[in-house]
This record gives sequence, structure tokens and C-alpha cells, in this order.
Amino acid sequence: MTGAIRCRGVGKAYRRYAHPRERIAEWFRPGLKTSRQVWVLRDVGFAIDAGETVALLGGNGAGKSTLLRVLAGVTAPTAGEVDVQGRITAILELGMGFHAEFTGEQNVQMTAQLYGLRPAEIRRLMPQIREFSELGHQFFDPLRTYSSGMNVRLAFSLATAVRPDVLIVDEALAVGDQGFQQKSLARIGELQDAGTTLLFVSHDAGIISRVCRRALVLHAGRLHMDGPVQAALAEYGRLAAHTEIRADAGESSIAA
Amino acid sequence: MVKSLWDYRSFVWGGVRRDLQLRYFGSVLGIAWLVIQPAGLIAVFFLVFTTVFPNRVIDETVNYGAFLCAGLIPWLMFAEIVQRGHGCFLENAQLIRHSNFPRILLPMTTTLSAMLNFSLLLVIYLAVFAISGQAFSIHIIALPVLIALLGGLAFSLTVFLALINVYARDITQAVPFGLQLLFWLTPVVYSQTAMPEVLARFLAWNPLAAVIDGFQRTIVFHTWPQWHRLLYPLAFLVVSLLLSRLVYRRVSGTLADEL
Repeated sequence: MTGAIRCRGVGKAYRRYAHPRERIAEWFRPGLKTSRQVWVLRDVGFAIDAGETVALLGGNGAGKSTLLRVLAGVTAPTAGEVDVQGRITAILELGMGFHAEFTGEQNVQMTAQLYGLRPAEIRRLMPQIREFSELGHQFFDPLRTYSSGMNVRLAFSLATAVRPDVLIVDEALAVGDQGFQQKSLARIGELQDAGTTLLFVSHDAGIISRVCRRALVLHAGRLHMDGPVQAALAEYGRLAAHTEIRADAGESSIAA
Repeated sequence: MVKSLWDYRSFVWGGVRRDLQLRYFGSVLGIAWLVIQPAGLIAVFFLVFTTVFPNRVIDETVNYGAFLCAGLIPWLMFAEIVQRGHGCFLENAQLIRHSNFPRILLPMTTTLSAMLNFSLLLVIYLAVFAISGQAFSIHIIALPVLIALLGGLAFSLTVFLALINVYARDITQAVPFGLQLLFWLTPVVYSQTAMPEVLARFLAWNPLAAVIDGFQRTIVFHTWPQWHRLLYPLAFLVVSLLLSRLVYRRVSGTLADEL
């Protein structure tokens, strides 16, 4: 069904090479393996039904952003299978890869073309995107003059202008000032009602418990928990406290 | 593969348009730069090889200015594709890190943009040629074939270099030097016939030599390109496309990890 996400045994490893030339040697001599693999995701498996909203919790370096990037198709998993049905739109690292020299309008055009929208459709949507972003005349200024908040507002306006089957949002769910936050949450609600599957990372417990009922907790690259949002938030809090204590202990032992 | 690329045609076409916009509408002299740069180069080479080193470059019966244009404009197209394209993945790191699209679209856009640019320049040049009373013949209908072949060679080389550049930034260092070397090892500003035997045999290994020679024949000498000599660059193109494809398939899925 469009909007469903399925992951089976998903792992992602980055290769570390002692020297750049070793990687290039590996391309042309298939038997050669000089690299060391560093796993940032390991054996992650879950299924999300179409229309569900799921939060992804975890500390820094737990693998949240990597998992979102794999699901968005930006990078291929090293192991396992990812199956996402339908049209995916992703706001990763607080943006959509806008070009600094192009204006907001040109960037919207470029990204919309990349997402396969037809020219007539882009022309039709442009005024709506401009209005929703509240950028005013700065919509026609180069992106390098934008603040990071403006950048995310533009990305959010564009990403939600056409209803995607799956919307992936990394840290940019409620962006900008309070007024825009309310507006963006309202739009998220509209998308939910219309059946969009939503997967997002946020550190704001208030927003998480407001928009979703289910959460996944990642810890050290593995799926630690998959359950109701309140229980997951509690578990995440417990994990975070635990890690903090361990970090403190580690520091004091170094000092001693 | 081809079908999925067709789906992205509006992105590629939009990229070509944005590229031209960024270059010409952002500058004071605008579209005039299309003509100024090559015209300046042509003037310099013309002066140097007719006054400073007047001999051996080409025989007397040929209009050296025309000969120069016929070889230099295609060369500039090739050089621009490689020069601007070998960094295309690094320059578009943000786009690659944020979106899922066939990465090959980026060098394709650069290549098409340069091919369009220089085809336009070639037309302007032919028009000036015609106005100044130099006749040209039916043979110029071979030009699209030559442009496509040269563009293909530049494209396959660029994809290969751009992919390696992501992992080993040496390419950025090597390209300007490599292009300079290749320029002087290709009969662009001098004629192949003016070369000593030894050097001429060496030049036969350069796939660009036969293609540039084709341009000079059709525009200046009013004959067809020597088709059999084009078989070598064509074979070279097929092999380098296969090699680029090998590397591309290997790394395109995880390109975002390195940017």
C-alpha cells in the first residue's frame, strides 16, 4: 500500500581507509579488502503502515539521521532491505539541499523539478509556497542571505506543498517562531488526516507526544525499542540519564 | 535507466537554464562573454603563430584564422566540460546529501550546457565567416556528429574524474595541468601535417586529434571528415563510457556518505 515503510535487517557501515588510494584500488580489484568497517546502524527492522505517524528517538550518534537518510534513498544501506512505497519527500539536516547562489524561487523550482513535478504544476504551486513560507520579497533573494530559520521555512513550505505519501523530517518539524510553529503543526495535521505516513526526529517531547502515538528508540545503532510514545519517551529518558552517568564516570577516571 | 532519466528531463533542462543564467545574467557584460573569451584567445594565437612563430604551423594556402577557429572552438567545449564538470559532485554536495536522484544528472547538465553554449558560438562563428565572404560547403552538416562525439568523450572522462575526485581530491589539482598538456598534444593551433613524423605517430594515440581534424576538414577544407579515423575515438568513447559506468555503479549509491 502506498505510504508503507518496511525495513528488514538494515545496517549501515562507513568504510575507513588508511589512505585514499586504497579505496580506489578496491574498486578495480574486487578481491582486495583493506578497509575497516564502522557500523553506525545494525540489524534494524520495523514496519510502518500507511498513514501512521512515528517519532524516532535516540541520543546524538544513535543513528537516527543515518536511518532517515537510508529510508529517504539518499544513501544505500550496507546490509538488509528497505522498502518504501510511494512518493517520499524528505527534509534532512534542516534543509532540502538548496543552492546558496540561487534565489528562493529558483531553489523551489529546482527542487520541485527534482521531485518530478511538471512545469505547469510548479507554476501553479509557486504562489502558495511563497505565501506559506512568509518570506515576502526575500523569496526572490539568494539563499545565502537567508537565516537558518528562513531556510527551513522554505524547505517545509515546499516539502508539504504537494502531499507526499511519506514525509521524512529530521529535526525540522516545528520550525521558526511560534506563529510558524502553529502553522506548520496544523499542516502536519492536515497531511496526517489525508493519509501521509510521517516519520520524524525531534528532541521536543511536547511535539512528539502531540503528533504521534508510536515511537522507535535507537541506541548505539540498534533498534532498542518500538512502542507507544509515552513508554518510549520514558525509556529514552532512562537511556539518556544512564549514558550521562557513564560519561561522568569515564571523565573522572581519566582525571584520576 | 534511460526511461528513468527521461523522467528528470525538466530538472536537466532547468539546470542548463540556471547555469546559463548564473553565468550571463550575473555578469555586467552578460551574453557577450560567450564571444569575448574565445575571440580573445583566437586573437592571441593568431598573432603568435603568424608573427612570432610564422613557420611550420600550417601551409600558406590556408587561412590560418579560419583554421584556428575551427579547432579552437570545439577544443574549448571539451575543456569547459572537463574543467567545470570534474567537481560537479563536490559542488553539489548539498543536493546529493539531501535528495535521492540519479547522480549522473549533474555531469549531464554541465555537459549539455557547454555543448549548447559552444554550438551557439560555432553558429555565430560560421555566420561571421559567411558574412566576411568565406564560403562554407555542404560538409558542415557533419558538424552535429562531431559535436556529439566530442561531447561524449568529454562527458565520459568527466564522469570518471568527478567520481574519483570525491574520494581523492588530487583530480582538482591534476585537471588544469592535464588539460594544458592535452591542448598542446592535440593539433588545435597547429596542423598535423606540420608535425615531424615521430610526433605525428605519437599524436595518433590521442582520440581528440581525429575529432578536431574532422572539424577543420568540414569547416576550412570543405571535405568530409575521414570517417575511418573517427572509429578510434568512437571505440575510445565506448570503452571510457563502460569504465565510467563501472565506477558509477559501484559508488553512486553511497556518494552522499563522502560529501
